Amino acid sequence: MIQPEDVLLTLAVLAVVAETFLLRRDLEEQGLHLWVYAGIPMLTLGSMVLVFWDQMPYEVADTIFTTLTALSIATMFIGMLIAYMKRRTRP
Amino acid sequence: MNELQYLVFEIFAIGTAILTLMYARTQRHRTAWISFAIFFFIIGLVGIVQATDVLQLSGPGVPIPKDYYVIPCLIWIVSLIMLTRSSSIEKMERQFERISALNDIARSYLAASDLESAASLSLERIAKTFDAEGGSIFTLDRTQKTIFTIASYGEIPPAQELFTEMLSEMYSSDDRVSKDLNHTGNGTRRLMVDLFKETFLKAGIKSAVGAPIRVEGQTVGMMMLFSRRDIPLTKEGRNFLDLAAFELGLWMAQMKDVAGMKSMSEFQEGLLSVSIDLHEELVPEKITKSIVKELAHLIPCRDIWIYLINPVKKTMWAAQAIGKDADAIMTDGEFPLSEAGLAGEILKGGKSEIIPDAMADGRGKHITGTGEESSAMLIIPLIAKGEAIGVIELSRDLPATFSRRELEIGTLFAQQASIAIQNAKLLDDMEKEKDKSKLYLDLLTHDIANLNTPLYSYFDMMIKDEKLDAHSKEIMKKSYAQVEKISLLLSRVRKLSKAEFEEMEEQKSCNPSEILQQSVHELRRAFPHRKIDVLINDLEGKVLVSAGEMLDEVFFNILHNSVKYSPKDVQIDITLEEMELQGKWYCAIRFCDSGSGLTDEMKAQVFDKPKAAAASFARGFGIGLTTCKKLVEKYGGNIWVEDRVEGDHKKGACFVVTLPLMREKAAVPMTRKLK
Repeated sequence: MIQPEDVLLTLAVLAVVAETFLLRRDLEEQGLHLWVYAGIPMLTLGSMVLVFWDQMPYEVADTIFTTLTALSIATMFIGMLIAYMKRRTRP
Repeated sequence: MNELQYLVFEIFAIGTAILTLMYARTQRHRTAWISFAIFFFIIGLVGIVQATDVLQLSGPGVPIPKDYYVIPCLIWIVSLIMLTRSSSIEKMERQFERISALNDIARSYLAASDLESAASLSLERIAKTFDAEGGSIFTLDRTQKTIFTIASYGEIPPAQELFTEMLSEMYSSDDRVSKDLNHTGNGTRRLMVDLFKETFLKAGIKSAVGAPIRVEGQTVGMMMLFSRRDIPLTKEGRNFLDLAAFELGLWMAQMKDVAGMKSMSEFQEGLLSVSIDLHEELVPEKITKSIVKELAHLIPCRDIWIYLINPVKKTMWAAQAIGKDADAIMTDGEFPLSEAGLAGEILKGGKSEIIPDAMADGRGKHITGTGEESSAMLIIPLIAKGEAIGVIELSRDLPATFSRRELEIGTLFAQQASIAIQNAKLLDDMEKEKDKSKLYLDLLTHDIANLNTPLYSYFDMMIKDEKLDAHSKEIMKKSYAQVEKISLLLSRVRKLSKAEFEEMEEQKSCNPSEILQQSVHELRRAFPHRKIDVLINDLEGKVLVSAGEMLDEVFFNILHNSVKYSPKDVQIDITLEEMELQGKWYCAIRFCDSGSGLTDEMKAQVFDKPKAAAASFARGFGIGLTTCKKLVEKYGGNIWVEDRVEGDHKKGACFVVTLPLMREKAAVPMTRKLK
């Protein structure tokens, strides 16, 4: 049976895909850079590991989750830093 | 994962959240970014929870509570939706801003009076719309192959200047660049091509965008924007820049039309003033100088030379030159037409020509002393009455050249100049001829008069010689009389020459009564067999007038005419009167005869018959009424004819001569009869 949280996660994955392909240009204008293309998909994958946590060997799940989360957070941090440095003040 | 690793992870997550918040502060639509910041906080919190709790609670095979990943996912999706919404609002706002910028630009064009101010206004507005720090607008001059910056804006003008200078150099030297700039069909594009990238980067420019300004399908300039950051060049941005450049082009075309009309009217005005100036001047040197000066004003160029032709010797010489090589041209001297090079060839064709490169043209000839570098030339022949009288040459440094319009202006100007030069030459020739005839006349009258002098003595001696018989003496007396007549004739010719050639005869105080009596005496000698009655009413003979030494000839001529056209017995009444005319006092001398009179038609023409006046004078019939009128007018008086009895011309004519009085007081009239 489909759980509401599974629907939400599927929507989140679809949003990542849509964001990457359809909204890229618009969001780029908003200052979203590297983290859009790398950080968020990685975080999404990391989140999916949490869904299948109990169905995977603990060591593998823990390693994948930890690595992806750490990488995605680092990437997002750098991306946001770049966006902040290049900020344009709009009147 | 140990606690330290989780701590690092949390710090980064919280750091990202703080950065996002800081970024949100700079944005107009902050909500979406704040939402993102919350998302990062949650991630951070999840990390903390995992580090402290989850790892213990959910060991191997234990599922993770759904809240841990569902809540962040939810927040993330909401943030994304909000970001997308704010993005589209911003897009709309930007679009609106651009439309209003276009409106502002259009309005500023309508308000601007000249190209520079219109360009500056639009550039500033466009640069602000694109958040560009600087920008410039330049125009291309196809004739001169140069680039003119008409407007610049912003903080980085040195880079713009550098770029324009670089482009200008390339435009003037590289045909490919020239072709590309002149005929580019592209719209707005990025200028960070390899060619300029280095220059831009050196000047700290990261992004440069150019929009060609086109008029009637041809590129006439470019609008450029420079920025130290990236200029977002979206489809809408391109359209906007294209439209702004199109508006500027449209306005430039309108301005060009207006300027064209204005320059045409200025040119016509200039040509008229030049034409008046040229025709007022009659000295050839001054005319050529004036031509060069006016032409330099109409067609600015490096050198202007005028060569004139000597049709007899078939040679040419530089009559006037200004510019870089003027000295060399002026010292070149006279040379045969066959060696005139380009000018000679063009004179053969008789039509003005533009020579894009004088050295490359096979017909050219290098003039010693002039520069070695080639130049563009405009050569205009000077043609008067279908014959070439000279040539005007104009030069410009390459790569500049001359336009068709300049050729037309030059040709039109040359027509005026040719007439002026021809007129001056004709006048010069006339003056020379006049001087020559005066010289011959002087020689004739003086030398023959001198030769006559000893003849008098010889004849006198022979008449007094007692050895001669009566018959021979009679012949001698007749010969003596003939010599006297020759002397008289020569003296008259001399007087006539003086009246004809000398513009201003010296004015002196004359007593008209005395002169009248001398003239009457001469008249009686001229008509020894006629009965001549002259009555002079001469104001007691005290009147003095201002006149010259030819006044007796005037009086004699009028009296001679009266006798000539009267019956055998002649009655002439001469009256002197004082009269005031426009505040000046004159002496009016009236010669009334009883001759056949003059009809109204004859009265109108009597002073206008210059034909054979000199011959008539030489034969002793007076200087002619035309010369009389000329002399009297020279003395400041007037002459006219009227009926003796008003309304009946058959009762005789009255010639009236007025002369300026030497004193202001009126005298008492008195009548005296001379027999």
